Amino acid sequence: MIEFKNVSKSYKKGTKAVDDLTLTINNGEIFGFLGPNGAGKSTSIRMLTGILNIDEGQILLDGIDITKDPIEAKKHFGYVSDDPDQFLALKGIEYLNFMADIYQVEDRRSRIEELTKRFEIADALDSRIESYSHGMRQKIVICGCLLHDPQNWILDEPMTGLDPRSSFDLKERMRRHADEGKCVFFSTHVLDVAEKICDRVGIIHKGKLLFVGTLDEMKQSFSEDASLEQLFLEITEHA
Amino acid sequence: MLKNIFNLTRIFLISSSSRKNGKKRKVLSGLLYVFLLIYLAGSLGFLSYEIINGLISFSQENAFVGYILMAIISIVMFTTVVACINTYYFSKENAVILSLPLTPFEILSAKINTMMAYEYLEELIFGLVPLCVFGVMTHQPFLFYLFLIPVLLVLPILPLLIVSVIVMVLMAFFKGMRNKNMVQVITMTVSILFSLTVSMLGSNVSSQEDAMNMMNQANGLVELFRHTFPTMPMAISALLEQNFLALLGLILISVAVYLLVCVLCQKLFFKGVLQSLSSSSGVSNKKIDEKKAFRSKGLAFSYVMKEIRTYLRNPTFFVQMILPTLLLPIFIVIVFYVSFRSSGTDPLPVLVPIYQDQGFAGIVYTVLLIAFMFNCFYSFLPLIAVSKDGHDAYLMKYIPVPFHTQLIYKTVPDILACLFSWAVTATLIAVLFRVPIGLILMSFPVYLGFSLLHGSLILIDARHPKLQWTSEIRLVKNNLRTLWGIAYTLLNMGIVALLGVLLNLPPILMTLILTAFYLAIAVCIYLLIRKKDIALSNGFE
Repeated sequence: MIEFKNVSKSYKKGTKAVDDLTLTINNGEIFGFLGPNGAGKSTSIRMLTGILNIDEGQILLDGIDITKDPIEAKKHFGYVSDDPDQFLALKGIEYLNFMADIYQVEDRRSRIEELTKRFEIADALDSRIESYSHGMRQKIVICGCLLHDPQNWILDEPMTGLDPRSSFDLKERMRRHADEGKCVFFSTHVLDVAEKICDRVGIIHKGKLLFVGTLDEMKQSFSEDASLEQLFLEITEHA
Repeated sequence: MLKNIFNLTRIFLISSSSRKNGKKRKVLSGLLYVFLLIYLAGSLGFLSYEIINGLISFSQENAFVGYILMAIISIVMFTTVVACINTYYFSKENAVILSLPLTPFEILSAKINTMMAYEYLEELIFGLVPLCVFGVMTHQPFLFYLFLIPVLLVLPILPLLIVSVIVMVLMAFFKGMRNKNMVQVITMTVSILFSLTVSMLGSNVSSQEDAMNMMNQANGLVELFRHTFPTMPMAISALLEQNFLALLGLILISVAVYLLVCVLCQKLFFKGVLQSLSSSSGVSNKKIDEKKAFRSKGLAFSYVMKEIRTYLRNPTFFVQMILPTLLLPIFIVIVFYVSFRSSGTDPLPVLVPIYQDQGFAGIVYTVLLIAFMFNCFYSFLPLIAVSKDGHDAYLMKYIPVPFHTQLIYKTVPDILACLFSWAVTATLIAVLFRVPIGLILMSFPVYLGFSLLHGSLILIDARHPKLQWTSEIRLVKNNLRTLWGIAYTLLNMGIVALLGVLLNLPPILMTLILTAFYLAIAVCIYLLIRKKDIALSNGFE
């Protein structure tokens, strides 16, 4: 479970990138975090993962405060950043072994084989990541994130660059993970994806959370016949 | 056209520098660098003073100008090899720049100007200070200083262009040269071998009869440098004789060659850039070795290996950061030895009695320690250890491993490189100069402490790493932070010289004092970073 409690963050004095964000992502659900560019999505995710400091408020991962007990809290999530160009000098297998050592994965062989076969990169593991295409890089980062089977998945634009099959597979995995009583928190610009797989969505704009709820709740609040795209535009334009 | 060239140059230079600091921090770090520059300038000035004093006693002081100008040309040629490959062909901004409505002439000119800016930074330290000291000590007229500025501005142009043209030809016509890694390893290996050969030949030439004849004439030795490079006679005349025509000739030739290269090489440059953008090393179909591939080696080993692999597999880091630390000791010891031998004197009959004389033990030990420490003079690994990861550095913040533990893992490659260079130097001087083994072994704990502390320079980088670089060479070359490494080495050399020469302490006492000193500081730093773990990790967001 992920909890944001009155979280704020400013880069410049007087301008809040995230303003008093209070949000709970429950176990067993896929939560889509939506918002236009510069809305505060990445800032929220970076605070959640410990990359950014929190100015005010508190973030809990399975009840553990990321600020007070960062090492323990970081064991409770797997994170895919929005930039898959990572560790280009390493070979795929070296990267995965490195991640397995960090998270002390015991059944690493079966996990690596299962994930890399599923994402169709098993044959490229002996090559350096710099030789991978954008999509392959995204896949290896996702494999690294899922290796230790974290309780909470935090995915920043995870579908970018994935081919349809891998995208489908990731969505399936997200669903299965949530159905196992775990938590998936992901940001996306692709509203179709959010509409299809999310149990709940949150819309953030100019650092403020404008809406949290299911799609049905959103329709009830705004317009019955509208798609998520239309609702999203309506909510963010009138904010 | 000129406006486009100016703007492009500005963009290339700006994109290589991190500008995230606030105003207050900018002022503070600016002051710190001014202090550092003054300290380095002072050290270099003192070194120059000693050398010029020595040359004056042989009436050969003008040779110093030749040495410095030649050193500038050599440094420019050497550093341009890797820098120009990265700046011209493998810079991340190339793909964007090529899509803009700019002519190849404008892009090439801006790239050359960017390279020149890097070289001026080096010249400022290694050229301006020693030549000003020379001017003061030899009572040069005002014209010397007036001519010094244009000479230093123009001198790097020709060597830079020569190297650039060679690289452009290679990139345009040889298929194998389109792989970034291969290009850099090949060119750097060739240039290092070239430099070694030139140094060896140089030490031979200076020992022969011609050099002796020149030595016999007042300021005759400077003639040796006049024919080492096409623009050298003009640069030397402009400075030493304040010859205006020579200065004008130097400027005209350099500017003419600059324009000629920009006009004639624009197609060549473009061909190479397009080919480099379309090249890829490709994914191999090699199967992983299943017996070894899934073995767990523990976090510490895995983390350190990740660091070592990054240094070894990235040609810029390998060539600019690792190779100098490994090769410099071999290079210096061999050049010293060859110089001795070629001058016809066997150093051993002179040196062995000195080693045996207990009265000189402290001084011999001091020289030994200083020689070992000099190995780290060009080792900047801890000063880019976090920055070199670029965006990957954020991993340090979201994995469940304490930040200070990761910093310690990151210093291991530097400590290993320093210890390797100690082992090589120790072996070479034991074999070639017969330095007593006991004395060499005694230096080990001191050097280990020195290396541990050298690793702790990582704190400078970890506080505010430069993560937004567009090419590795800019991180390495256009990074004033590396001056801290030089300052650290010079400071330690000074401490050793103080204990050994001024206080004349015996080797065993020096070892005890220095080892205790280094270990005490290392333990304090460790406890401090452990305590300030989270505060340290907040250095970058």
